[in-house]
Amino acid sequence: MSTSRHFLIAITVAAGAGLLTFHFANAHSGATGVVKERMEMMKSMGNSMKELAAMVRGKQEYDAGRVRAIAASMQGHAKMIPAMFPKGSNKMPSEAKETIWSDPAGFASSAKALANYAGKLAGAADNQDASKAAIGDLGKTCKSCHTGYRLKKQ
Amino acid sequence: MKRVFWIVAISLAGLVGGYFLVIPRLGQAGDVSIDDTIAGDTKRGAYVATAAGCYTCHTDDKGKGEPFAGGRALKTPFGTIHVPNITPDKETGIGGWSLLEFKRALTAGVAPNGTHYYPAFPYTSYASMTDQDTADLKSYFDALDPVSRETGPPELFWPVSDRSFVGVWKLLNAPRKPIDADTGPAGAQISRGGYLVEVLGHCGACHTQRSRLGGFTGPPLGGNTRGPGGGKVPGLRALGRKWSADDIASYLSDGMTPDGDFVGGEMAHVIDHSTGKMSETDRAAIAAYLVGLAEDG
Repeated sequence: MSTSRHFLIAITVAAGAGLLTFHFANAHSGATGVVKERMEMMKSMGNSMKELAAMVRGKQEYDAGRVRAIAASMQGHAKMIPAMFPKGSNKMPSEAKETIWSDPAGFASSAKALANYAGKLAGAADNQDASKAAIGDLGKTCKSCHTGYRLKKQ
Repeated sequence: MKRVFWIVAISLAGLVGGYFLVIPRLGQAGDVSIDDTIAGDTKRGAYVATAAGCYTCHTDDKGKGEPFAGGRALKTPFGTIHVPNITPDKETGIGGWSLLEFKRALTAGVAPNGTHYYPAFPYTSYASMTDQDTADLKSYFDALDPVSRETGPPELFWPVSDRSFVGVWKLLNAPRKPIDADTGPAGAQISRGGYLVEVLGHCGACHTQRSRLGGFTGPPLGGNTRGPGGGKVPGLRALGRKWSADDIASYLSDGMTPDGDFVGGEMAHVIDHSTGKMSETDRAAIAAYLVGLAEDG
């Protein structure tokens, strides 16, 4: 092969490698389909928890109506969780741990717990103390599921 | 030919000699001593155990084992280690150990029978534990109910399976220097935080880059691509630039990041059994120390 041919091949490979690196460089970007959907859903639940925590810590004014709305939204999301993890959907950039599929009963039960605690929060919204406890329980559920079923690879 | 013979013979003699005469002397920590009249306090010892995170490794949570009775199958890149029983059972636990034996195990990684512990046990971090904390911790374990549970030998491939080679590992990865008290205005708080992070909390055991041989190759707390369970462990040196001390202290209490995300994996166990059970002052001290690291760059 001629030198210019070599050069062309090298440039193409380098460009390809560069594009791939860029593609995988960011956890969420590069995600498509159901992986992207569920990442966005989890992020939205994170934003909800952030707001709830701010109310508990007094950084934001406590608003029972808002708490009820957040709780209802989280309950809706929680019910969708199992269906958003179809088999084979844990390729990069997914942070899904393979235990989701080797222990589907445990995973489903974690999602159900989330729905239950969100429901409890909705019911407790008018009582700030009960609501505080319910928000704590909600956080523990997030942590517990992430312990068994999430693995940050990046 | 004669020359080759002699080169091979002398090399072999060197290797064999080294194995039997030099290697057993490495990392033996014969200079470890302790005043055995120190009175240990069981209640303080319980807190030391919490800060040092003993529960998570020494309890078989999966198999619903008794606390501190060992049996957890710890997967490492070198094979599986069955974590020992540290209840005061005389046959299967650490019952009957002297305070000096306990200190040598914790701070130098040497068993009462003189063999090395594998550095899955973070003795390079515990090396700077105070004698009082050591005595308190022993008091706490001595006061537990003895549980009879035999934990099997480790399942590691050769040459890792030969404990003598851990002496070489120790030579290459000498324990960190003791933490010096900072005498600045926030000094008292920062030095407690440094002790909790670098010594008892042994955060560097996961958060510092490891080589394939399990040695420490990166800057302390600079992040580790070879984390337990195969995950990537983030660096903590720059954490204070993105999180406030309050954010850090709060995370150590309930596992929530400033984004509303919740930690998973091994860190969740740290929060559940260690930092989440510590005092607010101590969590604040840890946070102050980490923020200080970020300020130092």
